[in-house]
Amino acid sequence: MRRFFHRLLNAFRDERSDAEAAREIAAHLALLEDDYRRRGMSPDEARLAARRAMGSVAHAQDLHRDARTYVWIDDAGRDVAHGLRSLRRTPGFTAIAVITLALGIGANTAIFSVISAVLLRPLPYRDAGRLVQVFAPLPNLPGGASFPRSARSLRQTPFDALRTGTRTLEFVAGYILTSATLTGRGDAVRLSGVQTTATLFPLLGVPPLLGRAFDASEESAGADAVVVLSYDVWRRFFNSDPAVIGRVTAFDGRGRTIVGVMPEGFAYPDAFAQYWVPHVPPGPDARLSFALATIGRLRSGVSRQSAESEVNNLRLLGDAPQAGRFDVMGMQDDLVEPVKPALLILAGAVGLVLLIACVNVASLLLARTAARDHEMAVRRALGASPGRLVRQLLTESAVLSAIGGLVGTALAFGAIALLHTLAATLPRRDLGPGVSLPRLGEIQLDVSVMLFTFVVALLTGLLCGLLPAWRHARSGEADRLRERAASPRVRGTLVVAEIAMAMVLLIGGTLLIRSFMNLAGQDLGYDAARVLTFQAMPQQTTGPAARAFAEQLVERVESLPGVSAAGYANNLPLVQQSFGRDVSPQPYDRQRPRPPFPGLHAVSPRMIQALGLRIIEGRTFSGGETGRDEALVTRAFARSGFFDGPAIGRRIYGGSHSWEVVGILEDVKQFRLDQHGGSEFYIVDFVPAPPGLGGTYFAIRGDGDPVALVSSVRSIVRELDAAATMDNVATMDQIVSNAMSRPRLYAVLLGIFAGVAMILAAIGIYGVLSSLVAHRTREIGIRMALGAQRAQVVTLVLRHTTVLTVFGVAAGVAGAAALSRYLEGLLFGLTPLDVATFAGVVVLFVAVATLASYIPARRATRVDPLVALRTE
Amino acid sequence: MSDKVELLQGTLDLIVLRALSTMGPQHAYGLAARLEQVAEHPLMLNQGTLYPALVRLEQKGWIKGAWQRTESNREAKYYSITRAGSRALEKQAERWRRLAGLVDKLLLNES
Repeated sequence: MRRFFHRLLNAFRDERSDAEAAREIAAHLALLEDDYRRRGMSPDEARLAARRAMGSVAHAQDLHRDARTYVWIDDAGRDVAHGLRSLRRTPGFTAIAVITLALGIGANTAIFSVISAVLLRPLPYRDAGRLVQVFAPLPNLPGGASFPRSARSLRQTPFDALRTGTRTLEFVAGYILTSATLTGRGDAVRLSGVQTTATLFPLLGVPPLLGRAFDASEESAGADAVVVLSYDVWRRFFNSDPAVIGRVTAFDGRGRTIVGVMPEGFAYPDAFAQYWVPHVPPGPDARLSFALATIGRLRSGVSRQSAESEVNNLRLLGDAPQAGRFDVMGMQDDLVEPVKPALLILAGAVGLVLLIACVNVASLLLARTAARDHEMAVRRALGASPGRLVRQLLTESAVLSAIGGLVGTALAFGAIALLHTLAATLPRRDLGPGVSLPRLGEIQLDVSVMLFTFVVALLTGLLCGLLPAWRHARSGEADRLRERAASPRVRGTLVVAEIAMAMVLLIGGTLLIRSFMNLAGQDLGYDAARVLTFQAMPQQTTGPAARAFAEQLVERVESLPGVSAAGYANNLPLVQQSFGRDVSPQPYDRQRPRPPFPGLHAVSPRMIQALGLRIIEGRTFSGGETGRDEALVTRAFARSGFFDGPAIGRRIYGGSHSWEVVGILEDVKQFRLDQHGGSEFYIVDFVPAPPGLGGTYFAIRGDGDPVALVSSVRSIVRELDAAATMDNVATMDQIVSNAMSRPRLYAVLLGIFAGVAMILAAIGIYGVLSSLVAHRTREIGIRMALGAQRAQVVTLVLRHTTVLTVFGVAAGVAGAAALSRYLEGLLFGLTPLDVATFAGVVVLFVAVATLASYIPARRATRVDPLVALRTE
Repeated sequence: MSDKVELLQGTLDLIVLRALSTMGPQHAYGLAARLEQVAEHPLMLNQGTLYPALVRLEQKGWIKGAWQRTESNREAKYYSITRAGSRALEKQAERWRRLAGLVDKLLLNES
């Protein structure tokens, strides 16, 4: 044990011990010399004799050191130094190998940082694994199956029943997204907030930074109005003043006492949450009530499944018929579910890129060690053990991959920045949460990611070095003293594998890119170019004043130069708020079954022009009061069977109102770009934005760049109502682009990986062929001397790559056909086995392979027979 | 060459310890000279084997080295046996005697 430490220590204190050893050996020599002199030799003779007797001083010193330390530590140091030196001697090889490895390792680091932040790291709440989300059965409505999960919230009565009845959940909390205008802190500003039961805070286990969270006693209509602020609001509007606690501030004109401030980074349930207020249950006569998104904390030791069966046995909905069952889902599972398959696919893709990089570097190393066969043979003849040589080769590839890992980490920094840019979405709640990556802000290069990179680099080094090392360890000494070419078969196999893997990636990437192009190129049903949209909320949110505000705003904006049309509406395309309305093709009749629930759009007449909705039959609204009794319907509505026969001229009944259908609009991509437009109808009306939702939507069609209009529109808003808010300003193009963030992210990432894979494969083909030509120079020379034509020589060389390419492409097509079905959920407008994509990629690959082999083939034709014969 | 005895693995440690315990502190050269003298057949011993053995023994804590002057006023590293070294010597010598006896017996029976 003691010796172990000595030796370990000595591996690092080498110099001092070396000096000590040298001193001892010098003393030994001196004594020997004295002895010889005493026996009668001359001083010179004695010195020589002593040296002879002693043997090599250096050798003695080496032995001394070997006994002192662990040899392999020393050797490893020497191998690293040797590796670095020999890499420096071949800068071209080193650069290609390092870049190749850096691309592979960097891509893996970047994707792992996403997976680590999104899938692996627990949510930032106490015991986050026990947090669950409770979903009510789907509403029993036509088309209910396609409803988003947010439509599966619990109404107040079942929520209360769950809260009192459950034994498996330790806390139950419900919340509703809301918003309010904050006044009295500079310009009026619209904040996004959350109405929640007081249980939310103990459930998540996050205490406030300042003050307190609210409690159950504050959940009643008579209690003092209170509010808990987010860190961000506290910093921006209250200058991080700790004395805000207890201060009263105006939310939607109502005084609320600030009781607490949440810590930085706390943003439940979404990144837009800026304040939390108590949820006051609606009274029995409430006109408008929202359902509660419901979460719970499992009691310790209780499984999600048992909670789910308990919730289903509580008969929360009474005797009402149910379309399905309640679901209890892990909170994190629910959050990441939409992106998990794609992230795993991306992880697989970068894994393939790394494998291709490994194959390339292994192939390069193989060619290099083949060139060094002679050096190795000599070293072995001089007494290096095979293990020692293998260790040296592995050290070299480890050094390569370590450098590759460093460069790769730098690349990953860039990649993560790119990812943040690509995945960034408009910071708005109304466009739907999670149109991009959840937990985007948490993606970074942290310790766990670095550790991952380190391990990957280490394994990569081993993997790359193993093949050349193994070849060396295996081949006999005699074999290696002969100059022998790197086995073409081994390298050929590598190239086939490389082509196949790159093909799989390229086909996958092309499928995603074409799918994205389908998505982006489709007819939206409206003209998104040159349209500015925003939300505005006057101080008086309802009643005639709110309507007058909207009318005047539209009128004044339309008179601005550069505006061709303007209008307001209760929602916009791609805004995730639906206003359905119970309507029928004849006056209300209890006996008849209810038709599908079409989407209602209450708009100002010119909104049709402002959005560029296309009339395909009939006409648009007539001006003036008669327009109020008219309706436009989408093509899908007209064909839905709502009316038997043509729609134009028929009437739609809803409540005490009815509207005559005067025109049919092209289908509109209302909620999602990847779904067909549904039944929508448009009437001329003003529907005040419900309290808690952002405000009335406005759209302005400009003659030129609509963004130039923003400041004049803002001043009109301010002139009309000093306390009005105007926010969520965006062009329609931005909104459409925002809705495509996720498919675009996937397409860009997989596209990049596929491109890298293809370049690497091309380098691989080129490398193999080059060395093949180099090794066959003599043969080619003889053939040419015997009269072979250039074309014959080219054919000779190309035949080799053609075989490799055919095998690789065939394997790649088979692999892609087997794997592309995992992409099915991500594809729009094409199947995973899209023939055009497969054919295109095959053609592209054959072209790339031909190009990569053409250069070495041409070099072969330049061979001068005389020179070639002289090379031996 | 044939009359030289090749050292059995592990026996050199025993020999060095024994020499130091009977002769007192010695430098490496002295040890080498002494070992050459006592053997009936010269030991095939050079610095290549002696020095690593000295390092090994020092690291085990069985001997201790210190720089001193020789009678001829040369500086040399003198090694002396430590208490742990003496104990180890006893144990090793006992083991060696047993082993040697066994080998002797076997060799006699065979011939």
